[in-house]
Amino acid sequence: MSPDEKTVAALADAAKIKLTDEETAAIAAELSRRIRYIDLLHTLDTQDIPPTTVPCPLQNCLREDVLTPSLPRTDILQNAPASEEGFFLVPKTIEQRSTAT
Amino acid sequence: MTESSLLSLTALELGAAIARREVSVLEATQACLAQIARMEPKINAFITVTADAARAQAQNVQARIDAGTLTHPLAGVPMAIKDNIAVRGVPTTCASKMLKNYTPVYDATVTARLFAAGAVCLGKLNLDEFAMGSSTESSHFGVTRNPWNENHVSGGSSGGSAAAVCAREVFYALGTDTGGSIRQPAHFCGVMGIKPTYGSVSRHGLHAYASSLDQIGPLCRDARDGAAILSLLMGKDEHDATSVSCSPPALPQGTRLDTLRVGLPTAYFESPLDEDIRKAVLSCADTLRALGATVAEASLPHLPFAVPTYFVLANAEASANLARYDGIRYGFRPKDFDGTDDLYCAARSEGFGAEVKRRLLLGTYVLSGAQYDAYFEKARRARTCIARDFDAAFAQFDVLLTPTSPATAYPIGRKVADASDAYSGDIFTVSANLAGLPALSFPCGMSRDGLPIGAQLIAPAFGEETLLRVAHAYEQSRKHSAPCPKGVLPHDDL
Repeated sequence: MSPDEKTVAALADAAKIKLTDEETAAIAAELSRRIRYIDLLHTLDTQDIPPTTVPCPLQNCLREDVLTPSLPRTDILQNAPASEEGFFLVPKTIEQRSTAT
Repeated sequence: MTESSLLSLTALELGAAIARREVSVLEATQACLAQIARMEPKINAFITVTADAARAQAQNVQARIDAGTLTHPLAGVPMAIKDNIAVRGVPTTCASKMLKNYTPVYDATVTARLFAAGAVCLGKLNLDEFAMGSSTESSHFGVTRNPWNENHVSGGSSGGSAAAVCAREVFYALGTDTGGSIRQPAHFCGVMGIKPTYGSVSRHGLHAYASSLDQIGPLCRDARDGAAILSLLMGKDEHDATSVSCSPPALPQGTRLDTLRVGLPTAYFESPLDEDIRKAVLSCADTLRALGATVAEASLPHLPFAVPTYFVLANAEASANLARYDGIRYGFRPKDFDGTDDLYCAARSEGFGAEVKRRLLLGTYVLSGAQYDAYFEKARRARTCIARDFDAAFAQFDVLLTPTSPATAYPIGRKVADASDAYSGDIFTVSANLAGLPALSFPCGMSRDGLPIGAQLIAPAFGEETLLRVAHAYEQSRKHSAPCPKGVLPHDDL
């Protein structure tokens, strides 16, 4: 089943991407083309085939819990778009209306 | 030594010349920086050139060599790193507006390992945005042009890495390969590109695209360089839980391939394939036969499902991996927004380019509701079928020889007719990622219109040494490795 414009709008909401109406229509058409292509998979019988998640025989990787130095907080915050008193600054999450920081 | 002859050396040859004090690390670095200044206006392989840092690093490395504390065969050799791998203090943009101003505060494990061995880093190399593409045309910083023909793409996503090695700007480069992103640009530019076994090289410090497929590997001039670089990169890293202990490949030697069993997968030659590429790869098979190998047809019946499987899994994993870019801790944050949710949306909508958005939405789709079983789960099972094809083939063969890509480098701006065309170029490379196998692309000829042709070798997991041994024997029989485009080398004296 190919995604229609309503589905694309819901996908964009889930992926936190804003689309204009024009973009939504264009992406619905593009995704439909791409989906038709991957529909080839439905011609393959996989009923008794187990799924592969990673292509190597990984087991749980356990190690001793050892305390090691962290990266300096001031260095990390140099990449933050906004910070204050050593913390990442984010909009207020309770009040919906807030101003840009 | 003239500048041209210096730039024509392999990485190991330059490392030996530095060790013998025939050339200093700074002289080699300056020669590369001059070559970058000459070539960049034409090809745009670099996003960031770190000239001052490279000179300082060169002097530091020279001092350690002089003091006898640095003896690695690649010590002092200039190189560069794809711009989705962290280098401390140097912007790492992933060729995206989203990370245009992001500067890592730590080195990726691969970066740290190379620096510990005395590598001199000249900068960061162009790619498709977040490594999502096959031509570097989706880079926020413009396309990388092919040194063989500047109207053609250099391939991708590691197009900057391949073009920089081809244009003699660096002696080797790091790339990343999720569905062919090291091997395809290596083929397009006439250099060697190696995707190591899944788990053999740490991804700590790599911006993840599709975590069950991504691997870091070298683009370089020949098989001996490839082995030397891989021996530095490979091995377990406690910062990457998928990394495993493994033996690095020995430097390849010898010119005979007696007892080697080479499989030629018939399916690869029955799908659409450029005639010059077909001839070059079959001629390569004849050469391997002349070197003592037996060559026979191999069967990989699930090849037609490889690209659709890759398409589903890569996009699904990308949609999860790229959820981290939200404008909060690092990366692009818009000026105007209304609340947290709007900040996320605005940062991602303005920060990501069109192709990244399309892939994230497709990935979100195949993971949503009923589509999860119909597409994602189906693709995970198809992946098992593809891996089993290889298991069966490697019961009969030591390596498989295939074309790297169905076509040579195409013109910049080529209109892609539909989605299947956009991905059909990946058809010969994605299977090795799906099955986690090591694969290598090496130059094996030129097309009638003067563009390089690469052949691909695929081996069982941890079979890097076999790949390099075969490629090395082939290089010896041809008396050359990476060809050099006309006009790339300067003619003035050092």
